[in-house]
Amino acid sequence: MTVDDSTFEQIVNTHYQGLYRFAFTLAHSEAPAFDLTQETFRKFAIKAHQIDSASKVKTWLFTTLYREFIDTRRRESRSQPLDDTTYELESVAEADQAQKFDASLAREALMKIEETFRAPLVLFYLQDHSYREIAEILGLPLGTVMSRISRGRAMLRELLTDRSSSPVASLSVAAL
Amino acid sequence: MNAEEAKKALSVYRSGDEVTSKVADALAYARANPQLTRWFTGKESFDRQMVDAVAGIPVPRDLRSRILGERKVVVLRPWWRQPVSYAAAALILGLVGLSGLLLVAQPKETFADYRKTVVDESWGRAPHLDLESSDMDEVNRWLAGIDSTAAPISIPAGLKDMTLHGSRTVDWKGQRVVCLCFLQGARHMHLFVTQDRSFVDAPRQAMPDYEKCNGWKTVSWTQGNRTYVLTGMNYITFLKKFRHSGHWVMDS
Repeated sequence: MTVDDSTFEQIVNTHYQGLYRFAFTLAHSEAPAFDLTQETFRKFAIKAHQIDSASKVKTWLFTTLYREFIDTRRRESRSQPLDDTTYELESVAEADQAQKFDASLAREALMKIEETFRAPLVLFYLQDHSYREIAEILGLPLGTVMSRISRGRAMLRELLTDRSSSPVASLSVAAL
Repeated sequence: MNAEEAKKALSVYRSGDEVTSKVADALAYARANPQLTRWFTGKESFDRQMVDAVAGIPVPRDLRSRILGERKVVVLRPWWRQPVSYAAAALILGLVGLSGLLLVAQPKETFADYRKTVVDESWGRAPHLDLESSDMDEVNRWLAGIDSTAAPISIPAGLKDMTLHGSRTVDWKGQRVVCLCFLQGARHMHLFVTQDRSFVDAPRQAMPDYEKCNGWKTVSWTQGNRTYVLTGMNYITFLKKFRHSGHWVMDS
């Protein structure tokens, strides 16, 4: 697709906040999130002509940002494969309380979730992506995305429940 | 449909999503099951709060303007996609042809060639250092022994906390290029420093240029009369070291 200045600006306006928020939750701080977002649009400015349809721009941007982040991370630490192909549903007793919590507390808890679960959760809560798009962005099967969102939500709930009486602790999959 | 199946269908349902027949059945089932209704209401409430929490992550005010500003610099549209007339295209082709002739007559230094050469040199020789030392003064004394007229090298601010491992020199078109090797754990990073070059495509002052070169990630920038090429790093590490609050900090 051809991207003139006005189209580019329109695309930036539509997506830069979502991309930054996604980057922030991946990178945990402002400066790298700022740079990941900027780098994503820099690549877009150069490679936009390779995208064959305007409808693919959003997924291309988020995929590019995520790959840029993962690419650098992979060199630093080996990823630990997780067997998460099945759903783990919360018990009704755990989940039927209508929890109320502060937004900053929720973000703090979100940052404590393992990246494997955090990335699909954030894309889910950005509310701009279907499950299929999330799967495409993260390069995962649809079922795995659904499973990770479900399990990630359960982790968040647990963290936010714990938070009411004690500081947020890091939560591992094993703890579930 | 039983309670467990209904819960499974609803656990991945998000308000506003398409209501499939499975979800419709699950919603109907939940309406008749108070316990499941409570669970679903709680989940919906939780999700709404998380949506607000994510939407509340503050976005830096200058991010948009910087992205738009950077496009003016980095945009590289293929010429065939630009709205130029055939006459203009023909003119460009003519100029390209003429430039080609001029280039043959008078070869210019290109930064891309330089970068490729030093990256090839960087990872292609064993042992890769001529001097192993973690002391920059010792490295400068050693470099002065090779070329007494050369100004001492100083380590860019962002790399000062890295462990210096040693140095070597590379010859490029008759001029000495200094390579400094840094260690970060098991990772080696090579910084090439050259000065007073007039590359036609030199990276901009204090504004890094990211490029993959022969499979290696490189970051290049110009500072004063020096041109730097860093290889072996990962980009996030680089950004963390050299960028703070959206500003590049790479002065020596």
